[in-house]
Amino acid sequence: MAWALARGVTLFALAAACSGCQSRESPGHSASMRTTVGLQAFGDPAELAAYKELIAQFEQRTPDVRVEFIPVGNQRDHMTKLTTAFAGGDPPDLFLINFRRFGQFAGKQVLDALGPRLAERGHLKESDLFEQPAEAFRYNGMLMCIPMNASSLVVYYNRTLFEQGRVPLPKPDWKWEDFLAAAQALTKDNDGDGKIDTYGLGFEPTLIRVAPFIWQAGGDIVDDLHHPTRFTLDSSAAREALDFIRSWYVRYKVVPPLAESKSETHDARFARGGLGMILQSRRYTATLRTIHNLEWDVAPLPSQQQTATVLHSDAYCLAKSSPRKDAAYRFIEFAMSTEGSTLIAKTGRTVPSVTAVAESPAFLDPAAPPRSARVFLDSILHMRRTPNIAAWNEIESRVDPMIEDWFYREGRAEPLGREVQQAVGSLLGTRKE
Amino acid sequence: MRFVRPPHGRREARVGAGGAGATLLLILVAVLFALPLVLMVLASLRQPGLAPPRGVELIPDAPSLRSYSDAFTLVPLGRGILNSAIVSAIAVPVTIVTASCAGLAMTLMTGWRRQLMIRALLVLAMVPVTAVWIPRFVLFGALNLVGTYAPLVAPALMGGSPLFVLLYVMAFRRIPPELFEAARMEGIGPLRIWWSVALPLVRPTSAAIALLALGLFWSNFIDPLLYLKSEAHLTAPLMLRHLELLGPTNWPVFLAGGVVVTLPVVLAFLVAHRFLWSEEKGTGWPGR
Repeated sequence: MAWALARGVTLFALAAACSGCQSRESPGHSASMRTTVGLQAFGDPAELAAYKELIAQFEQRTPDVRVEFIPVGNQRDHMTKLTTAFAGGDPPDLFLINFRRFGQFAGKQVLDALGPRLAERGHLKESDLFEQPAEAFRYNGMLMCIPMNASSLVVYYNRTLFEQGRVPLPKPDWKWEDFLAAAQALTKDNDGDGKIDTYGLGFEPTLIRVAPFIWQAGGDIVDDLHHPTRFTLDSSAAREALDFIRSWYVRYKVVPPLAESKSETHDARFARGGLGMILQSRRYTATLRTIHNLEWDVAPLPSQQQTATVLHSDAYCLAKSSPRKDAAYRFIEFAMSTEGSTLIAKTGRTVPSVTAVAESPAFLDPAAPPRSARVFLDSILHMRRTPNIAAWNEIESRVDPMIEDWFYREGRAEPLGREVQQAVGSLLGTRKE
Repeated sequence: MRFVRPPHGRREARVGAGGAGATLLLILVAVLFALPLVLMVLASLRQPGLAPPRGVELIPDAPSLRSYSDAFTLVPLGRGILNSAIVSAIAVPVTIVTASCAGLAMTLMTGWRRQLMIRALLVLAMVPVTAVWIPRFVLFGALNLVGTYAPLVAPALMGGSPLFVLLYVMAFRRIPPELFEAARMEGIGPLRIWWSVALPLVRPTSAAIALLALGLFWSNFIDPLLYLKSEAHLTAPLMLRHLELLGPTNWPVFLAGGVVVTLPVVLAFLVAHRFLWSEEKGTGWPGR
């Protein structure tokens, strides 16, 4: 009996363990004919479905290459899987990554520079892409990855709440004071119970969200974008912007308190009509398109001394250790073609980095909200970015909780700039590339 | 000192009151633990695509099961559940076999050897998972097993968890050692002692460890994330993560996925819990 059990378990174990060892070839194609390329990406089910469609179209046109899609649920898991795979020497051939996180891979020289391939093959040109996202994926002057989107931070606003409160709709050239006045006018206790029912603004206090306001005030977050050695959050311009941001909660109470923002996300609150405005990237559009009783639109970030927003961009990167670089690059070429970019653009979640597709109805679909979709394209001109050094991901992970504490804690004395410099300033100096 | 037995009726009344109090306490604890599950089920009945409610909505306005069908169409959740079931179906019995073998071996050891092994188990239990994260990945990579279920099942070959081995040691130590000695003198080999003598006497412990192991392997997130390389092989917790990324209007779909993934473990507990207390008083788990 014991041996029978042991035999059964062993056979089952072997069968199941080898269920992952299935043939990497599809029917009709011999092993010598097809090359299998691994592509790792994260996204929600609709995005992943678009990638699968992209892969299906590519495989139809390129029968000698098969793409093994490795979907991951969210960005954090994606990074965990990627860093472990690289450390273990078994990375995917291709993967998508944000420019704020690609520096740690570029810095370790585990990426195959795609700029030379771009120039060599000639099917896709760098001039086909928006300049700002392409620049963000340069490392030591070399284009390392090919950006597939060029999103930015914009203001999503509830049109109904603006009209009900007789608040002037945001204009393309609106200023900080207009923005704050709108947030104040939209913050309301509708039933008179002493509790705020509708807040004017949803704001996630993180470095990436704070940065554009510092740029608008004429300041910067670091002393040198390409070779940062220290944070400059203590400059007078940066302090002006930081004081303005902090006043939204500490002084004017136009954003939900910390407890409320943790119990109900800003995204959910805006979606149910509990926020007048929210700062978000293009990704949020897809969610809002599913709500039929919400009148919403987008506006650029307000400006002050300057007009500025922050880049949100992901790119296709190729692992240097991949033995299938040519096949992998052919997939990138297809994904970045008009046809491939259009497929992804139709999800509504991204702003295509291919200029021709961004200007086409695939993105500027007049039948699909937001009616001011061009705001995303106009914002590209004013896009700035954070450094893409190897340590930047770690810096953001450590600074964001400090910014949250600084934003919400009333009576706080220590300036944010000094705290950030003390906590993570050494990462700039020691890890400069 | 002379012990005075209380009058029979008063004693029964006291026991009855104490028993009722204990039952009430147990019910309260059960309700406390069941509440999140109940809320998850209720929230999953909300129509997907609607703006999220303000606060907790106990009963949705127009309850619907659409979230459940959406959960299966948006991601291959059925495939994920099947994959998780395959992994658990292998890993749980293997865990029972290896943990009980190790537990029995340690029980039959004497003196410093047993102390050493128990201390080694405690040390192993304290090793953080992240400390062996990369070495394990490199090891399975060298064995060409990345992308298969082998790394997910492999812990079962070593008892699943040091805790399971310790539980078996505790259970086997409650069996009189003379029983094992008598079996040896009868010429019964170690394998037969394990299968015919030891295991039947600790069935409640085996049932408890099977449940714990099922929870461990069924809900394992990090190993499938790191080791699996194809959507067709992904397990249920990874599928849930995809649903988690849906916007707030589709949270009912995520919760429906949560209900579906939780259900098998809850059902397994309902089926197995009677085994936990099935033995005579004194030998049941955890040794009442």
